[in-house]
Formats: sequence, C-alpha cells, structure tokens
Amino acid sequence: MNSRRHEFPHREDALAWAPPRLTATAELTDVGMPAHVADELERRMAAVAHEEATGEDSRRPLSARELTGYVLTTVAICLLGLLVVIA
Amino acid sequence: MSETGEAGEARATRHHRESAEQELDRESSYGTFPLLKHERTWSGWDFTWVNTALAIATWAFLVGGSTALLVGFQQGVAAMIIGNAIGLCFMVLASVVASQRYGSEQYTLLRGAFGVVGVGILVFTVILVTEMGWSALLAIMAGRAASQVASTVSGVELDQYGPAVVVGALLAILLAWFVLSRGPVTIGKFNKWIAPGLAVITVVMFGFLVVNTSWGALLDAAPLAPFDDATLNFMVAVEFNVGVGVSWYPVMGSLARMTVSRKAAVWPAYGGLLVATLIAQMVGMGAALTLGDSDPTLWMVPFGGPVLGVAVLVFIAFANITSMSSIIYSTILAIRQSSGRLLARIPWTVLTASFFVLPAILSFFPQFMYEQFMVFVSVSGAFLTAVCGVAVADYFFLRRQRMDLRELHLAQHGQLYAYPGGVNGAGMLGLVAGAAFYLWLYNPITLDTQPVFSVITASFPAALVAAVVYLLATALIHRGRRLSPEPVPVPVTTGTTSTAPTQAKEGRA
Repeated sequence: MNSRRHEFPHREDALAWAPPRLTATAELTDVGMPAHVADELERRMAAVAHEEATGEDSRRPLSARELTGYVLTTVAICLLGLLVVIA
Repeated sequence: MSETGEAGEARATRHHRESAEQELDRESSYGTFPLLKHERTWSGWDFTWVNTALAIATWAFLVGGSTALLVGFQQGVAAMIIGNAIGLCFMVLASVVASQRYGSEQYTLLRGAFGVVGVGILVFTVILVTEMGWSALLAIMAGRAASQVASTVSGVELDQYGPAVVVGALLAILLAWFVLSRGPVTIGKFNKWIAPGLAVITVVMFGFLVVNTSWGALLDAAPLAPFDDATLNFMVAVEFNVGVGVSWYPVMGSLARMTVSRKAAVWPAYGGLLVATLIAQMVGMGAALTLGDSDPTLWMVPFGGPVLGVAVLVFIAFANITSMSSIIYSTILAIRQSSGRLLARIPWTVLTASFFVLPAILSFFPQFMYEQFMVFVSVSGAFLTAVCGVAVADYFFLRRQRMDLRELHLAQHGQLYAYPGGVNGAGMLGLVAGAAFYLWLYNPITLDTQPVFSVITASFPAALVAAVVYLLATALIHRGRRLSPEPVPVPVTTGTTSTAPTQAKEGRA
C-alpha cells in the first residue's frame, strides 16, 4: 500500500502545515493495524472525546484546588518528617 | 452454490469473526485501547490494595536496610517520610493523572513530550533495564525465602547466596510468568488477597522485632556504615528514598487507567504507596539496625519459630511473585506500544517469557544484585526523575492537561505529536540535562557529591532542571507550533467519528 507521507520544504513546516488527511482509521490501517482493530480504536477514541466534551467526571482534568491540596499535603508530610528529626 | 460450499463459507466467516473478536479482546487487555467508562472498575480501595501489595514486597525491607547504612532509626524514619513523600509526589503527577483521565497507559501519553520513536528509545533503555533489575531482585528475594524454608524443613544449613537461592529465584520467575500469562484480571485477584495479608504480616514482623530486641535498642542503634558528615548521611538517605518513590513511575500509569475517578487514582497511588512503603521499610531498617540484616528471610524463622516462620516466608515468596507480575505487565504493555506493530503479533505468553531472560541470568548473581542495590536504585532514579520532570512540564504546563488521543495514536501520521524522525528533541534535551544534573550533584557510583547536595539533594532539582530545559527547548525548537488540541465541540451522539477535535476538518479522500 502506498504511504501517505508528504514532502515539506522545511521540517517545521511539516509540523505546522495541515494537509488534507484521511480518517484516523485509514491512517492506522496503512501502518499495519488490522482494520477491525483500527475501527475499535477509533470508536473508543470517539467515546473518550465524547465523555471529555460532555464533562464526564472521570475525564475531567485535575483542578487547581485539587492540585494545590495535593502539593500542600506533600509539604505537610515533609514538615512532619522534619519534626521527627528535631523531636 | 452447493450446500457444502455455503456451509464452508459460513464456517470461514464465523472463524474470521471469532478470531477478530479474540484479537479485539487481546488488544483490550494487553494493547493499545484506551479504556472506556464501564471498563474502569477499580475503586479507591481496590487501587489502594493493589498499591499496598506492590509496596510491601520485600524490596521495601531491603530499602529500609540500605537506609540503616547511613542513619539511625529516628533519622531514618524522617528520611523515609520526606524522601518517599517528594518522590511519590512528582511520580504520581507524571504518570497517574493523565493515565486516569484518558484511560491510557503513560507511554502513549508521553509521545507529545518525546515523540513516538523517542518513547521507544526510552522504553527499550531506561524503563526496560530498570524493570528487569527490579524483577531480578524480587526473584532473588523469593529465592532466598524459598532457600530459608528448605533449610528449616530439611535441617540443612544453606548458603544465603547459594545454589538453592538461584533455583528458588528461577522457580519464582517461572511462577511469575504463569501468573502473568493469565492476564491482568488474575494479577488483580491475587493482589486482593495478598495485600491485606502482607500488611498483617509486616505488623506481626515489627512486633517480633521489638519483642526480641527492645524499643530502646532500636532507637539507640548506630548506623551501620555512615560517612563522616552527619548532614550528608541524612541527605543521601533522603535522596535514596526519593529514588525509591520515583521508581514506581514505569508501572503506575498502566494501573491508574483502571480506576473510576481522579480521587480513586491520585490519593490511593500516593497514600497507599507511602504508608505501605513506610511500614515495610521501618521493619527492614529496624531489623538491620538491631540484627545486622534487613532481610526477613534470614531472621523470621529464628524469631517466629519453624511453623510461623516458614508460613510467613512462603507468603513473602508468593507476594514477590505477584509483585513481579504486576511490574512486568506494565512494562510489556509499554514495550508493545513502543514497538509499533512489530511485537503486536507475538503471543502474549511468548512476549512475557522473553522479558524474563535477563532477570533469569541475573538470578545467578544474587550477591552482586544485593550489594549493588543502592547504586541501581539511585542510577535508575537519575533518569526516571528527569523523565518525570519532562512529563509533568509537558502535561501540566505545555498541554494544559489536554491531550488528543487520536493524534497520540496517529503519532508521525498526525500533526500534534509528529516530530522529525519521531523524536522530540526538546524532550530528549530535557531528559539528558536532568539526568546529567543529577549525576553531577550526586554520583551514586563514586559517591561524590557537590556541596549544594547537602541542602537540595539531587532528584527534585534534577526534575526541575529537566522540566525547565524542556519548556525552554520547546519554545526555541517548536516556536509557533500548535501544542494543544482544538476546543472540543459537544458531540451529538456517542461513537460517531464527527465528535473528535481534529476529525471535523478531515474528509475521506
């Protein structure tokens, strides 16, 4: 099967330029993935994107509050460790 | 067409469909598929037990014993708390958070930072060597437990690094391969029983230790082989424990993707590993300080008696086997992902068996592996902290916690994560800078340190250097390049291809 690679005048152009592309399934089957596996992968990626877009809780990013709480907990545990040395 | 011909055709179609379904099942368990909501079944408690089972493997006793070389009990506990807290903090941010969100293991998600070929280089060098080293150590520890059991049962004195240890280690590898070949569900089932058992046994061992020595002796015991500088001793102990915390990186993403929510992933990963590790390490350190050896396989039978001692050792040996299975499962997933389609066709059992070749060879050198343990943890830590630094910078700062799964899988055939030659030079530069900075601050082989090491240690600053170099290099090398996916439109239906961020502008040619 023919490769769908493009030639670019400058290597960074290749990364910035958006050529007309096929679907992910077609691209993946081109590199040797069986069609039914590529189809299933595509279905799953779409489902994850859907959950992400609709704000499904398990697909949300870590909030600033959660992140701060997490880092502060680490700092508190380190201080506890220092207390053990001092005590 | 004749009836026979139609029946044959139907049979062939059925066979084709069945083999396709089998392949999809295989890909789902061992392969590339991001997990869907209904497939992510681990609650916070489930994940806590998985992490506890991993953390209370006998490597934790060995870490405690190595810490006792430098500091006494009180300072050792402090070093373990601080070191593990710091190491686990950025390890969890680097691997667990993104994997939980996208249901995908961390190596696919690293393609943005290193490129698809770059991740392959990383996996086939740093990750593979690290995990093979840990697997060999676990096998040898299981072998030592088996040797001690054999010695107790037969009444014959056996060398602690002798042939019985090697045979036991090889047997452990064989059993780990068997468990692994049954898949992740079997590993999870074993962990559910082994983790609570190990927690109880560790507490019992600590009780035995205190009863057979004394609390006062434990607190007064001097470190076994310290440097002259007390501050340096403490900081090297902290650094060693940071390395231990970071050493969970290669496996955590693959496990975290099974969890149902952020809460079920982040806190059990951090807290489960921290608490369980600390308890087991304290036992190892206490034993090393008062008895001269951290390995419970040596002192459990004399203290616990032949029946209880042997029962505990058998349990410890088995726990090591399940720990081995867990870490190798994640590593094989990474290898499969990073090899493109090359290894995807190789049966899972063959692939897992081939992983065990080097650990099996290393099992013939148990004394060497034990004596070089601290060097191994620190050197692998130098590279893993740098990987973590780059991963955190990429996910939190550069991508703002937004990845495009489709583009990640397309890699060089996509736009967002395609790089010249498949390698993101910025990521590689960050990795090399971070690791070099670590080894400059603290060389675990020669034990040379810079004066500033006694203030800032090595791992955390190395991760910071890796992150900063990565961000600066990205700004220079990839100026003007789009780094995050386009805003996701709210889709109309599930499972249609029109819902994806980059799919909207694509059309079938």
